[in-house]
Amino acid sequence: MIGENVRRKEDARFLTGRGRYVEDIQFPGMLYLGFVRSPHAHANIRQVDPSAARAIPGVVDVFWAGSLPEFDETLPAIFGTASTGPSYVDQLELPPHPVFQKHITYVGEQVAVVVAESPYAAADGVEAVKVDYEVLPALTDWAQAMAPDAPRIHPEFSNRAAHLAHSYGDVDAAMSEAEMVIERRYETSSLKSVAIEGRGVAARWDGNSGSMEIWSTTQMHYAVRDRLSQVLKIAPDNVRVIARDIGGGFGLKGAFYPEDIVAPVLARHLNRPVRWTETRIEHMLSSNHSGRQTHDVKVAFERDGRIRALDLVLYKEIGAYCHFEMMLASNTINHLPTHYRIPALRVEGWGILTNTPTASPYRGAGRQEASFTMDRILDAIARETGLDPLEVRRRNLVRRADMPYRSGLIYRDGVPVCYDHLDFERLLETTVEKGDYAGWRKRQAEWRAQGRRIGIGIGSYVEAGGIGPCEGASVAIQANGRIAVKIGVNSQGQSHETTLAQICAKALGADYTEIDVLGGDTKMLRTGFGTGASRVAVNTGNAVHLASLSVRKKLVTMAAILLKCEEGDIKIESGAVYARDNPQKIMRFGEMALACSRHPAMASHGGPDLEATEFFYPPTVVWSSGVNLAVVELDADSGRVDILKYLFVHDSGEPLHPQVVEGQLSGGFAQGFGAAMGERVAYAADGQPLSASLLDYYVPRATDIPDVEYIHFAFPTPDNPLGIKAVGESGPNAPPATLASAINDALGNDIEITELPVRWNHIVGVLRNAPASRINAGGMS
Amino acid sequence: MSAHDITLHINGKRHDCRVEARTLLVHLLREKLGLTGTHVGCDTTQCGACTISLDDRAVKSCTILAVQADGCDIVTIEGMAGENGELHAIQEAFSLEHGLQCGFCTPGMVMSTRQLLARYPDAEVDEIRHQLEGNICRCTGYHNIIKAVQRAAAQARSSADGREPAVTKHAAPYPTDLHQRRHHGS
Ligand code: FES
Ligand code: FES
Repeated sequence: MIGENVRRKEDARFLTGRGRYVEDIQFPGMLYLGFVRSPHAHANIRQVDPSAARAIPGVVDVFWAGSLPEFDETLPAIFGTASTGPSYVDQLELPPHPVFQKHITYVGEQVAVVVAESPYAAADGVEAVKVDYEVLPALTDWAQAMAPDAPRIHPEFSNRAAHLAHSYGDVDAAMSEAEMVIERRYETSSLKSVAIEGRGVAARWDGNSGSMEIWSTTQMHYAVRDRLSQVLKIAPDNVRVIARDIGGGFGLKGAFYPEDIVAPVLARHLNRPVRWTETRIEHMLSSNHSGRQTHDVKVAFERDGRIRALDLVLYKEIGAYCHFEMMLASNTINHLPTHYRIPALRVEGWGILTNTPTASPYRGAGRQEASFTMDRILDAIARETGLDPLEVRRRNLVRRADMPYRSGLIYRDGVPVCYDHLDFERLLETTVEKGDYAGWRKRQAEWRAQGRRIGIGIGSYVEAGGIGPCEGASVAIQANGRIAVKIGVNSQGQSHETTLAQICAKALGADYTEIDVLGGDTKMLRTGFGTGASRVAVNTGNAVHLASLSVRKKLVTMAAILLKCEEGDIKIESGAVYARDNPQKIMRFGEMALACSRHPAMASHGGPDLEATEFFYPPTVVWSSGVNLAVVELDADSGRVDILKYLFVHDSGEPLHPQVVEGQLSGGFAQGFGAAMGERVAYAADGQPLSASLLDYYVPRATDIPDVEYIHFAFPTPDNPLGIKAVGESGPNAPPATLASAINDALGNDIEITELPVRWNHIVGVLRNAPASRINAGGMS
Repeated sequence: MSAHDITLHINGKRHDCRVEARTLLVHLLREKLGLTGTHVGCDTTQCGACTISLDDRAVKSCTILAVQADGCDIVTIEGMAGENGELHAIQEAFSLEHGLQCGFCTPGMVMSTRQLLARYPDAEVDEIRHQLEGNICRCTGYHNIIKAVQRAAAQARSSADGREPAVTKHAAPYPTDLHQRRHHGS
């Protein structure tokens, strides 16, 4: 069952229009919210005049800063699974983030909310609210914001909100002894998740029980419940958060937003259900983004290409508020070495406030930046030493024999990073062989002579997934034979209902078709930690496995009693128990559940139900890894990048459902492709967004994405009972590094690509100045 | 805002509706008629999540007023499965090939594929990619969507056997579309 491409349980409802996303929720008497948002990046609100808006038919009321005491509440600074350890951070000052306030710090920040009888009336109301602003100077660039005399974004707080530092090995000695030292600056742009469904929330107050029901697009429904229970001053159990069908998340929906408080507070205040769903322009303006990151590196290495030391100073634009400590920067640092040995490392990182929305994880969450930085460094070493980029990689690889390999880094759960049960050599050599690296190098030289420019690039990634603290699962056999698997996480498309049912079917001996996986509702399980950081398969998957085994144990004990035989003679298969020696003695699961519910023997098995709840606590993260190879050709006239070949070789442990694994990779690949080829959240110097619609922000289309060949490895791991690793964030990490490397290889040594996305004008600039015939082949020179 | 009485035939059923002149078709379908399978993913006609069939043409229902659809025949995702709930061949192919993850773009993808197969039953990969350019999927990377369309196309070809296609083919569906002309050679 595990490892088979069974039919996805989610598909039927999604394919027939029966999904239930937040925007599909309609309650009788529902009101709709529309937000007045600031057109200025930095301003004080002098006055809000709601009179014209209130006069519009259908508008119920307008609220803003000071209207209700709950609007002074601050958004949680640390959310969901963001903080499990303080790794590396030695300074952190978090400006409070009230729901509505008079001090505006980014374009799109909420200024007031209009409540109306219909979404159209709410939009009319938003247009009619008059706001008087005192406009202040804005900062959208970390370098300006860090300057000693820079104006402050929050008067009480330094723009330098966070700092981290870590080192191991003797970096200074290596820098002075090594034969070669280079310095580079690598820039990675801020990215937006652009899930096709925007954020949303619907809220309904129940005056009878004093409880709140929320439908949310969140990836962290328990964290939302807990914060709302504080804001509403009611018990967590009186807040029910349902996050059932969600149209993609990719990290952005793992954060907490002002609207998450506004909707329930107004639902209670007005005693009517309310709904708000984000428009695409609101998504581009006011939802979180990944945050631009700059990497200043100094690398010491020998003429033979071997790295001796790396010194990195990292600058992270975290937006106007710091909600994720230095999680993204520390992820970059902990994934920076990817497959390679860095004997001495010193890192320093700054989290700098800017007049933009908050930076938060976007699929990969710092890993893409790590792979880009590391692979650009390896290519730069190749360039400086004249070695082939592949040879430089081979010489620095952490080998099988070196494992368990402790790099000297410490993961953000506080556990030292350790590579084990991995095989980087095999991944690299498979890539080289299956990607026909030698053949392409030959063709590259031949075709160059004909004026064609092709380039070959290699990129590598590691992905630490499955971070704790834990997840749980409750498995129960019901009287009609159906099995309920209740979990503490929700799905944004990851196929939990399918893969977790497979795990249960195998461990319990149940029919896959009889299993219902129920998640995305705080009423299912009391505690959960959320979907993000590629943690569900490892945490929840193993919890389902353990809970299913516990139920199986009860089944065996009770079957022995009911069928009057030894426990050792009980067999379980396809949803039935039977006595091995007498196939006539058989009971279906449903019959067992019925028989057990009144059986006194159940007193010593936790009560009347064939049910068990288990939690899985992973000791630390588990590492997945992969290597990508790209061959590109540049169109001599237009600079268009054609992908001639793309190979994606990876290990993510034992696949639960191979098709789903490849689906995760291909979706992630497309996002990584976008980051290489054009995705960029950009701001003008005055803080005006330059990428506020899908006309301005590039998202790859079906025509852009090349055919990708996937090669799957499953290196076994003893890290958890199921032997599985993470895959959710494996896809996007290496493509930007790989594509940048291939494009640079095609362009030759006239340019060094140090920036994401790769700029088309850089490509065209080189092509214009240096026709192919005059250029030496990059990698072979 | 002036109100208008319009009649739509949706998934084989007649609907008489009174709408504000400014009501977008997608909002009529979703908010008034409860057909929430058609989704909204953008505000600039980019994503295609709202794609429906309007008189047998795939149309982005976020970019047409409800009043403009007066008298039209509409098929939405809710009208694709058979009477007894059996999946349409396109839906079946998307499921078999794992051409959907979160499902949000899926109704639009299915409705665009419906037109694609009717117009280009022999479409190769490049043509499939081109025809789906107006539908954004952020989850799948299109990899399995392409496979799903190929599977559905093969299925349609093998079961067509000279019968009338499920969707009528317009001689020149979009006379101003250069691409169409290129493909029809006119
Ligand atoms: S909603 Fe995006 S194109 Fe219609
Ligand atoms: S399946 Fe999620 S957007 Fe396509």
